[in-house]
Amino acid sequence: MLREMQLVWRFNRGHTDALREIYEQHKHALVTLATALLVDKWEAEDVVHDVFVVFLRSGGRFRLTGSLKGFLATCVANRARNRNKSKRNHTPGEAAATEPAAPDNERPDLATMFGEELRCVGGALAELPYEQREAVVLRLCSGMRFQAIARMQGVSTNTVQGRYRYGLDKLTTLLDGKLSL
Amino acid sequence: MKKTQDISQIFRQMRVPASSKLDERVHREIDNAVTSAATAPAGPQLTLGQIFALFLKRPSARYTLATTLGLAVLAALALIHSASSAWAMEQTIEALKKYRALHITGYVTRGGKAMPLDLWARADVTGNLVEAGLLKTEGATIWTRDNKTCGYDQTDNTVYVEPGITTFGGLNPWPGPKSLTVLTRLKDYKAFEGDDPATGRKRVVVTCSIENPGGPQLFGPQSLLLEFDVRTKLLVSSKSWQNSTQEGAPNCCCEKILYFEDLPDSVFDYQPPSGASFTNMPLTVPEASLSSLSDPGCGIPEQGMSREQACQKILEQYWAARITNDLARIRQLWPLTAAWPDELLRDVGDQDEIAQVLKIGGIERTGESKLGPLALIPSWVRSRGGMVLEVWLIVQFRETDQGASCVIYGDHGYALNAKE
Repeated sequence: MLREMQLVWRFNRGHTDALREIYEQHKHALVTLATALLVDKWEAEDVVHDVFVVFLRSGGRFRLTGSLKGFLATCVANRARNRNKSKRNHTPGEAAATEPAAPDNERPDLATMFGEELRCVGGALAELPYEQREAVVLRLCSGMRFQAIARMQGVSTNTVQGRYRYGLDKLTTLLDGKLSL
Repeated sequence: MKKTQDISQIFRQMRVPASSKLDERVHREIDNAVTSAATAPAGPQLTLGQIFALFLKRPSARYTLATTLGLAVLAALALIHSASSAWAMEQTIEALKKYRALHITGYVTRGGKAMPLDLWARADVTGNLVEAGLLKTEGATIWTRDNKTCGYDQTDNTVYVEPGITTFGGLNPWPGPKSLTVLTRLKDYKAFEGDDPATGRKRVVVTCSIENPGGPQLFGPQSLLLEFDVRTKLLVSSKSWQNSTQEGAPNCCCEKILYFEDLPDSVFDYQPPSGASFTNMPLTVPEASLSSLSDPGCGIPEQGMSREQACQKILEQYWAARITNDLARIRQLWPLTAAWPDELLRDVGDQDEIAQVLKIGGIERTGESKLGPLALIPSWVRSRGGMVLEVWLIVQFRETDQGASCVIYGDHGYALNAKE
């Protein structure tokens, strides 16, 4: 925490090496989070890029109130949600989030994103409604608390817990037999 | 329960590495943004932004014939052609051939306040573009260096840098033969010949108004009053207004224009005060262009591609359209040209006909407009004459009823002669 505070202090004073360090520390986690949320590596990288662009523009006035990791993860989640929303608005017919995803064996990009071993996880994630996927991913990938996810989604903690539970159940069903669980 | 725990475990171990492309993009952004809490407060940027807006309006720059000063100079030269036999265009072009540099003194008006203007400029070897320039006005200095345009703002002791030589002081494109040819379409002028008792010389005063000097919607109407020396054929002073009826105070007044065969580099040297910080000029586009840029029928869909890929794709298509002179496709990709007559679009394209695309670069800089993210991308192309040009284009990403897509906003600065 002290190290993070020091990094932010230097970043606020224009030390670009501090920003580079922040990026290097968090880039893989943020790309993983965004990819799990969007199930699209390119979109995920755009989201992470945009988060860092906005972040570096906040230099000089950024105030760290919690953990930097949590802050950046929240930024990524917010941007990913907006992106998903706009995609959903522009997908004709059924909403994208509830549309049945292509089977994961028809999506070779999943192996590129998640690795051959976990491609079925990517495929299963794509089949979850976005709110459930977000609850599961933020909780499991970023270790975010239900309360924080609830604040972000603008719903009650109980609703988030419900989304998480339903999401996890569906994942368990979808992955049953596909992974050596 | 066990399975749920295992899934949790899998998620915790999941790792999607950031690509080297993302690393490059983020590090480039960091390189570009020299942020300093002490030297770059958010507020004062506007001051220079306003000054840049005054001097360096660059929307669709190649096609924007000029802003205030350049417009005055160029319009005058073109108008003279029709005004009287004593002012034939050929004579004016011939007279200008002797000179490669200018010095202008006068003033510009901003928010009702007149600010002194002092401008030095030199044309490149082709005589079409500004190669070096130095412009000083109250609280700000703009100069060119290493194919960049820099602006120093005294209020925050900061130098704002733009890649390329943009519409330098409104003098780009330089009043050379190519620009004059385009400007021959200007109409609505009156010319009066008289004597100047102060100098004993004959002068011609030309008045005119132009409805859309910068292409569709970008600038409002302008009116001009230009004074020529009959003997030398050269423009000696000018005034311009941002209305079509010469009402109110002129927004720019060039009181004295001197011509030089050449000027040494030292004239354009400028060192900002010590302690000045350098930062990139924010990449943005004028609000007046947003309605054209938001046309859902234009551009290409972005979905399924990263921004880098979308930029590559739209620029490939744009250059292909330029090479084949496919005007409909150019208009579709570049919505600001949608209302331009074929003739104008073809003429402008002819200025440096492109034969081959050598390379389309990656995103060098990003910005934001009200429509969405902006990206600045260089391309290297070969003209039919064999010259290699470096052209910077701005791509606008936006969300429309048709989904996420991107369009070309226009050129950023002017094409530079590049080495292979």
